[in-house]
Parts: sequence; C-alpha cells; structure tokens
Amino acid sequence: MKLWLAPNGLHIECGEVSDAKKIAELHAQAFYRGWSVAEFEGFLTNKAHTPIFVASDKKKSIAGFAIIRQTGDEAELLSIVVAKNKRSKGIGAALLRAILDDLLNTPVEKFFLEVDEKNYAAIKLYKNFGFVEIAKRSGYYRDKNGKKSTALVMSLQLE
Amino acid sequence: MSKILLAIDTSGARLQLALSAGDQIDILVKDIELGRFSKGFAEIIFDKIAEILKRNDIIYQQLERICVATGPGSFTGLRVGISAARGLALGLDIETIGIPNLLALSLTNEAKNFAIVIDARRNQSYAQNFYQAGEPNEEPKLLNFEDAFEIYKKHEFDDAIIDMKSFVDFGQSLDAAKFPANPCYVREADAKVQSKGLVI
Repeated sequence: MKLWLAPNGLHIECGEVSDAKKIAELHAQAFYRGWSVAEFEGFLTNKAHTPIFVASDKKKSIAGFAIIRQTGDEAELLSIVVAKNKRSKGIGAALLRAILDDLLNTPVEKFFLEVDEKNYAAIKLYKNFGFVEIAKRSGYYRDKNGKKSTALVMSLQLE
Repeated sequence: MSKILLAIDTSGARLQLALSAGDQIDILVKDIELGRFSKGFAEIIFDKIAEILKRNDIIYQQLERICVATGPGSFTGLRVGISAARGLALGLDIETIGIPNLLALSLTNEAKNFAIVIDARRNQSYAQNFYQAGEPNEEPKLLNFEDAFEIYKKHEFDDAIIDMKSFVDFGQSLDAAKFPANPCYVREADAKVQSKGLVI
C-alpha cells in the first residue's frame, strides 16, 4: 500500500477500521464535539468516499490524521487533527501533501475546506498550499461555552 | 526509417518526455511537486518540450508523430498531457497516438500470458491480462487489490512507471486510427450518493 513520509520519523498511510478508536480519541482532544468510534468506523469502511490519512510511528501510535469526503469531481477536508504535543513539526503539511498526491489519482478537480477565521496557523498552512478564501459562514462553529465563531470557506483548484 | 517522434507521459507524479530522432532516443524526466510554490504539469510541460527539442536540435515543424500515455493514472496529469499532445498535433498537422498505461507497462515484460496489476490507491488496483508484451487479452479493469492479487496470482503491485524507450519504439509503428489519444480513466468520475448518511 502507498506510504508517504512525514517529519519526526512518522509515515502516512490510509487508515484501517482497526484505527477507529485511536482516531476518535485524538479527534475528541481537538474538538469540543468529537465524533464517535462508530462514525469513524463508518468512514474507514468507505475508503473510496471518506478515506482517512493517518500519520503514525512504527509502533502505530497516531500523531495526526486527516479525513476527506470525495464526491464526483469535488472533495472536502472534513477534519484534520495533529496531537497537541506533535504540533508545529510539519505533520499537518505532510498530511495535506499526502491527500493532494492521493487526489491526483481521482477525478477530483476542486478541494474545499472550512476553517475557523481565528485559526491563523491553519489558514497560513492552507494558503501555502494555494487555497483561497471563497466565502464566510458566520456563527458556524460553537465552542463548549456556546461562543460562536466564523468559518472561512477555502478552495483549491487541482491543476 | 523511424519517424521523428515526441512521447509524453503525464500519468504519474512525474513528467516524462522522450524524443526519438534517427536512431537516437533522448529522455527528460521532471518530478512534479505539490503546493503553492511548485509547478504542476500545466506550468512546465511546454518549457520541458522546448528543452528536449532544443537539446536535440529539432524544431516543432520537424515532428512527425506525438505519442501520449492515456492512463489510467493522474486525472489532472492526463488532462494536461493529452490536451498538449492533441493541441500540438493539430497545429503541426501530424498524428497523435494514445497508448494506455497498462499496455505501455506490458512492453518490458518478456513473458507469455502475464498480468499487470498496479496500485490504484484506496485498496484498489488497475489490472489487465496480456498474451505477451503489447498484446492484451482483456480490457483494463478496476478491482479491489486483494481480488486482483488472487485472480492474477500476484503478491505485490507492478511498477507503474512507463519505460519511455519501449513506449517510443512501440509508438513508431502504431495505427493512429486504432490508438486515439483519448483518456482511459478506468475509474470514472462517480457522483453516487452514499447509502449511509453522514452526520456532519
């Protein structure tokens, strides 16, 4: 199976159903409303539409993952998470590179994502990959205190 | 006398060009990088074609035939490579020949009755059986890789990089009417709705 190299001795590969629990734990650390193990199992069984790219070490300890949803000639970044103690090491960029490399072999021409407008580090990363802001969704996110924040919608033409 | 032929392969993560003139074949390979500051196939293909022509003292008007890999492979790459080949051929009033990738990959195999099975990602594979090099006995198929390995008795994927020398040699003799430069995606753009709803 295809493997991509990532910083810190990590590699990236397509996740398997057996990774669902670890992925759900990591997701819950990063997002207020984490998705369930069952939801991730659902995604992982449907690799053609919702593949999950997992960055892990040799012992299968997961440092980050990214999930996309692909429909026809469009794809969307559903979620991307890097473990708190593994951030600022280029793992997010490595995950994005793996996704873009993978999408070359699919009919996908346009790749979309949403990001909190205050998440400057992520926005910078996406801009470095050529994503451009195409819209805003105000009040899209809500944190555990009920505070709302705006999402930027960004897109990348895969040419 | 062999034709002055330009061959283009944009089906993978690298641009491969080959120029055949007289008994010489020159090959130019350039990796494609991903990201904002990198250049994709569309940005580099004509510069690289100019480069390989120039270093062989050939001008566009001397080209007699253009061969292009038609896939399956990188959808973006195939669109760029096939468009470039057809555009050039139209302008120069010469023939284009489209050679499907699995057929191209068969050319370096000296066995009889063998299969080529390559990684299509996401647990899938592209597979095709051949009587011998350059002679398929079925259409290319998209299969789960476990099924393909079982059917074709394989333990690993074949290398998916086209050997440009055999590609050029093969392209010299083909009939353009039988090998049109049309993309062969095998995996079609499917927009079917998922049966299980997503809660997102």
